[in-house]
Amino acid sequence: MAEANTFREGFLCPVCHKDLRSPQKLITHFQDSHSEEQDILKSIKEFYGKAKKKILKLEEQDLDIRSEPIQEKLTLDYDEFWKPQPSGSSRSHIDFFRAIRRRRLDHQTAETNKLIIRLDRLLRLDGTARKQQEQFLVAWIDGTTVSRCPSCASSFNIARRQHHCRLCGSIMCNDCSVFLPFDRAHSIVAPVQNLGISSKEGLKGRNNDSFRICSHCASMVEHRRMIQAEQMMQPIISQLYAHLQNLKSNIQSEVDLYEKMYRSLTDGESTFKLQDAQTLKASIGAKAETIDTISKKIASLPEDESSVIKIEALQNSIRRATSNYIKDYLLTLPPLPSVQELAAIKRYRSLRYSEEEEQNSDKIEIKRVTVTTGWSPSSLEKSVQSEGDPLIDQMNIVRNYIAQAKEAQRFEEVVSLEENLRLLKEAYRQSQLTKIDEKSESKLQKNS
Amino acid sequence: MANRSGAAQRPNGTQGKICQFKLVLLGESAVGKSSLVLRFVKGQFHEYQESTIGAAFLTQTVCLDDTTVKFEIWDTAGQERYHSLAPMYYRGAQAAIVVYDITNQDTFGRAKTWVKELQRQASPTIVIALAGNKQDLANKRMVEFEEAQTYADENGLLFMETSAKTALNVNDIFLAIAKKLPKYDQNQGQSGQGQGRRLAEGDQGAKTPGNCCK
Repeated sequence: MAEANTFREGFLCPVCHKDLRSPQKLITHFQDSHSEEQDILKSIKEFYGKAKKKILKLEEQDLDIRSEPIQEKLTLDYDEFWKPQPSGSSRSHIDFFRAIRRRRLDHQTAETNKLIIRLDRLLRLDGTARKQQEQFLVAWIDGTTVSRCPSCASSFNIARRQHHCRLCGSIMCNDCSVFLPFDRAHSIVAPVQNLGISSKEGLKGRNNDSFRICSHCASMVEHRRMIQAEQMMQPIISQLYAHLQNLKSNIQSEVDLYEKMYRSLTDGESTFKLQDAQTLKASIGAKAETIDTISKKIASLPEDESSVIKIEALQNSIRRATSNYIKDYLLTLPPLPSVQELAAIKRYRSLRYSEEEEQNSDKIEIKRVTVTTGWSPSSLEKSVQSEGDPLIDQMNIVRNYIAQAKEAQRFEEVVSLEENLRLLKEAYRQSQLTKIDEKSESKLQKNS
Repeated sequence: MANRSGAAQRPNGTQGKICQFKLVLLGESAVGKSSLVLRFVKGQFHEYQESTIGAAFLTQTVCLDDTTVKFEIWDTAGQERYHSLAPMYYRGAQAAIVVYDITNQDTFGRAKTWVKELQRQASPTIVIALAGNKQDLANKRMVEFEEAQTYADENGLLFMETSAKTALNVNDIFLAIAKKLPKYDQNQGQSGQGQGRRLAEGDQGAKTPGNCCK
């Protein structure tokens, strides 16, 4: 019923409604398949002829209409037109075109995806009651009202049975069916896995089997397969180059690490071990060799017949770039110091470091600061005081402090306080001496 | 450099430096010298701090990274009667804190004369800090911060406004001094001139006096 309502156009056979794409094909088809209906053929021919005439006439008229004013203009203003004209207004239809194209592509992609999802489900089906399961997944069109094959218009009978497309459920005859083998279906559904596993999966036993699908679905699925294949197919040179680049980025991180280790080691730091650096260097060396061989392989790849020169240049420049890279980065790696040298470096560093620290200590940023609880003698016992002379007062105070410090086992403080007491005594003696001097002086003055 | 030989003997170079410094507090009476030092040493504050007689002695240890700085603090009395004692204490000191009261302009003037005296009489290498105490009474302020800062800048002093009551900048001013002190010169003149004494090392580097400040 779905087919009956649709509007079709093209070079359709009036009897079987098959689209034959060109008038010649339609005529030959009609003569071959429906020769008994010759009168209809005549009418078709007539109709076709009329249509042809009509179209041609229209075109002629169009030409006439267009050519007249142009010629007038040309004859009238010829002088003005011989000079180059500035280009007139133009309009780009690319966006419009793209919008339509995108819509169509989207539609097609969506449809194809739908088919592939169905195909995936169909592939997962188990052997038993397959037909029912297939019908459960894809609704089959009811065949009772379809008397002819929609694609070739041949009537169905005992010999020409109705068949259903497993992907869209539409009806067609055996001749119009396309068979999609299971292994190909697998490769469409899971292209990546299938590269290596296809042969193993094929051993399941169903690989000889195939799906019956309509030509429409077949073309969509096949188109997808082609795109996938194109994407999967990489020329050997790009595969090798990808491998090469991968190794290079790998090696670069190792080289960076090695340089860091080298700097640290030659500075006498003990962050890294010499042995580790040696291992790393060996690994870098091995990778460098691999890179070298790959680039050689690329350079000696057999060339295609097409665009030989370009490919040859590409291959050679890859080879050259790689050897330069090896020369610049990998052969210039500084040699590691020997164990003895390293020990000497470390010794030198510890010496220099401590010296530097002595000198630059003022500039060192201080990060950790702790203030502990201090000590002080209690000053409560100063009631025994005021002898008049502050020096004597202070000496008493300090003596008291010394006693307290001794009691608290603060012997450093005792040392400092005793030193102070000594100074006080000295000062006191000095002051006494000056007093005596003053007294004697005043006496002398009195006497005189 | 005498201290190089000392350094070379220690392979790890950095551990366990102990420096001892003598620090003296000077300033007019009742500006808060004792309160300041009590806050620093014991973390205490007494609203009615008795006036100091002579000079009080306190010690406090500060760790800066792996250097231990021990302060021997002489808190001198501000009363005029004891001024004759002050030179005994600042002469042997490596650091001095001159304290004034921000609510009293006269104490600032007195602080200036202390600074002058220190510059003339004390060790030329002495680290002087100016402390504007009683910052908690800033609403009764008589000495502007900028004024004191300018003065400190002109004379190369460390300057902070402190409050022993709220502990504002108390530890900071001592730490600033500790950082500024030359911790790695162990030359300690027998006369007590100028330098810190490294207790851990003994006094082996004592032969090059005058090698202190750079």
